[in-house]
Amino acid sequence: MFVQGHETLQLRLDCVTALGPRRWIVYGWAATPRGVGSRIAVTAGAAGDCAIEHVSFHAHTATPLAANAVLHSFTLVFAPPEGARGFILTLTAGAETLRADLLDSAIPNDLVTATAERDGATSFRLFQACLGDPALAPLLHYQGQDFGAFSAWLTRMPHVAGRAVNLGPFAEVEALLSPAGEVLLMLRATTPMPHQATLSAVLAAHPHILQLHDVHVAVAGHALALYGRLDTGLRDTLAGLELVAEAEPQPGQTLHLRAHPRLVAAPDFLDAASRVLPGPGTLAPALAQAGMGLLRPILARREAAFAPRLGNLPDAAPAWPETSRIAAILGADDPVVARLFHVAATTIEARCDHLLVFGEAAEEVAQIFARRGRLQVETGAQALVTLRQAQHTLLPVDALRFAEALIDGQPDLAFANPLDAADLARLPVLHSLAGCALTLGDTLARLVRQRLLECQGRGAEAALVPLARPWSSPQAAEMVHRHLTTLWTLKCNPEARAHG
Amino acid sequence: MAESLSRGVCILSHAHPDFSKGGGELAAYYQFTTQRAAGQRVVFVAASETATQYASSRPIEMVLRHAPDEFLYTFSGMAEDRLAWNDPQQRRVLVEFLAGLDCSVYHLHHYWRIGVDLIVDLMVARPDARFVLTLHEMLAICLHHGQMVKTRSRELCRQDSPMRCLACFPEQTLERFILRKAALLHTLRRFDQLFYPSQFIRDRYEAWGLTGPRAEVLENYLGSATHGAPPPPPMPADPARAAHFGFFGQPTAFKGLDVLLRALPLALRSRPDIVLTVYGAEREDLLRPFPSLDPLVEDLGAAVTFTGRYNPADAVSLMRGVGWVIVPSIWWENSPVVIQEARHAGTPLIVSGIGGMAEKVLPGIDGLHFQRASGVDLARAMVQAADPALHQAMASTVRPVIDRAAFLDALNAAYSPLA
Repeated sequence: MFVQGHETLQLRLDCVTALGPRRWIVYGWAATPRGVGSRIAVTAGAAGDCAIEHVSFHAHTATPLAANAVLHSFTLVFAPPEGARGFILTLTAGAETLRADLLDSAIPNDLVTATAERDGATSFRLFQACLGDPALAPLLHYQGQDFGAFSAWLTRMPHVAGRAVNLGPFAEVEALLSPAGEVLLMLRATTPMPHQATLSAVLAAHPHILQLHDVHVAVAGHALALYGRLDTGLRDTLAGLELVAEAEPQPGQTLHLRAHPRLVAAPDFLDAASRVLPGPGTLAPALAQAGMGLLRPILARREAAFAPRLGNLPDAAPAWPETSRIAAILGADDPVVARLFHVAATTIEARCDHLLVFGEAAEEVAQIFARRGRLQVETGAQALVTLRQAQHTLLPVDALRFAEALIDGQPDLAFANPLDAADLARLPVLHSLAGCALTLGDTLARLVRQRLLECQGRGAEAALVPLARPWSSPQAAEMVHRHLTTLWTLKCNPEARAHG
Repeated sequence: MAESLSRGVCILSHAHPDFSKGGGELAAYYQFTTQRAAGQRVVFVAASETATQYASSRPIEMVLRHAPDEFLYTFSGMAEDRLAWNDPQQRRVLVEFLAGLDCSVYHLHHYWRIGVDLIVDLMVARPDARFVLTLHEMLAICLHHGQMVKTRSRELCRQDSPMRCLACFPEQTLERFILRKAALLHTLRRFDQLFYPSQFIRDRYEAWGLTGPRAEVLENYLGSATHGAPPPPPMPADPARAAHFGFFGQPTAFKGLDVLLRALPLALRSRPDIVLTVYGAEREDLLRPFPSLDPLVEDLGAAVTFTGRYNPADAVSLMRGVGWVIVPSIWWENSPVVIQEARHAGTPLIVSGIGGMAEKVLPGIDGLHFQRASGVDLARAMVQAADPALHQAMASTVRPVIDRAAFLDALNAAYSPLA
């Protein structure tokens, strides 16, 4: 419904509807004389003024009718007084006033459609504002739909499942999630990205919008990047996360998209943060340098956030009574390993009564022990559950070290480094924050190797063997290695040890 | 001893000589016939390629009776390298059959086509039995058919290591070599007794890490038909025979017949009366792997004769018809049957001076050595050997091979748990 006072004072109401028993919302836009103060109010006749719970204005992209007018979209949420029968919206600009009956049947009341059809930037700001504004919270649940009033708006957006190519002005869009609850949105173009390019994103996990911490947005090379981190306590929601983003590579060129980030381990996540050109391959030195400009502050944020968590882990734990002797075979990847454990099964059975097997050939190895029936054996998800629940000690058996110990005629050497309760407490935290692969077995193998090297008096940093992957640049490889080594070798602080 | 053998001996072999004539299966089978002839209860169980091929198209019992006290089994359920079983059910069936034989000694002549997993399972099933293994070759040490010859050249390999092996088999992984060795070594160390047919192969296995079980060098006994009779009387002196050389065997890439044929024209320059007879191959059998030798063979004319395959039972008499037996193998050879047969025939030998050949032919006693793969040096040795006086002297000092009684005594001692 359109209400016009004159060329520089106009009002249009795009949607008025109830959000709940005592809460209404109004979408519209207003043109007011430039340089003249304006305000919006809602009255309920004899019942009095309505309480304004939220009002926000956004610069409207349309050209105003008159050059001496300014145009703004607005969103208004109000709470009528008890017994209110009708609502009058008043737009005041200086001494002039426009009035509109909010219950006029000419005003649309389909909030979902109105949200989808209004200016995208306005809806994005409103979506952002839902985080932390109780007055707007009902919008996310409106009519019981996914993301409520925003459902149609979100549905119309391009959707990126991990990675997409040729999306709007971008040659490649990549959305990644790390096990530590970090998100990374990389928008890469074929040409250098203007420095004034902007990117913002909202992290959503239906039906909630989540707070991103330590957000870092930067332009480097051909890329526009956004990094942020989820609250530690919310990491269980990782599976359903999505990013709703607004990118403006050039003034006036806006792209909205939603992306389901792909879960990757820390090395892949961090290398992607340094990749400032679309596609694979090693970056040229200048672009590699630009990539470091993106990577460096992200690593700094990680270390600031994660180092205290790792450092505060106790390095000694109460000695609990041992209830079950659990061993874990690691690195059972080659099918040939199965015949080794077949001929040496008794060596394992003599040392445990519960066996976990990790690796690509884990099932074949497990079958050997299952057929013999002398111990409980688990692989896959069940083994991971047991591993996470293990609290006392764990006897890790690296398949290759076991083989070498047998060759040397000293099988005991393969069982010489059990993990204690403190190690087991450290394992999932290390895996989440600095795991080099998505499988917990990999982190366990590295932890075992670290303990072994420590026992041998060698530097624990050697445990982080170079990660063989297609790095975007040698500089990125070195920087990520150094960063992960820092996290892996953090010593527990004495206070935590004292209270461990 | 009598008590330990009261329930008999099971000889387990990777093949039956009715179907293939490798040295290992021949030695295993000759042991079977010799022990049986000595009145011992003995059962021969062998892997059968023929039965395995048949099993791929039709259902077949896994273990088949082949002859009195002789059985064949299929191994289609084994992994591709034939060192372990993919099919646990087939493995179980074979273990149950073997354990059910109720023998007090299981004497294996290989682990290939038997499987390390089956060996361990059988040991578990029969903890009361003694387990004896004769190691005829080095498959455990070397993936290249146990030859310890490098794959990308014919260079000899002297020691295994994961990285050396990777150079020969770059498609493999370092980890796999370690896992493979550990599984094999751990299994072989569990035997009560090991026999090696030569000191050379014993040294190789011990350097590889196979220490622990009682071990002994026991020369293969080639059976009553060959060795049972007393050594034949020395051949009457015949100067012409000194220049007659014989090659016995297949013209494979490692047997060195190509080296010998390249040496022959060089030797003929000094001694035009030298002749060579090739037993075991026709000319076409040679030219298939060595087509480039065709012009050379053509030029040699009557100096070389190809006689085709021969019956192993005729080997000794054929060898008595030549002055020298040449064994020019370019690989180590662990304990060549040909050398034993020639020595039994009283025919001196010219051999490559490496491995089992160098050990079994003492230079100046049993024959001459030449530098491996060197046609020039072989030609030198042939010219030297063609001297009738040297031939006569050497033919008179060739040492006899192990006799039946010594062979049986060594076995019986090994089968005794008190030994």
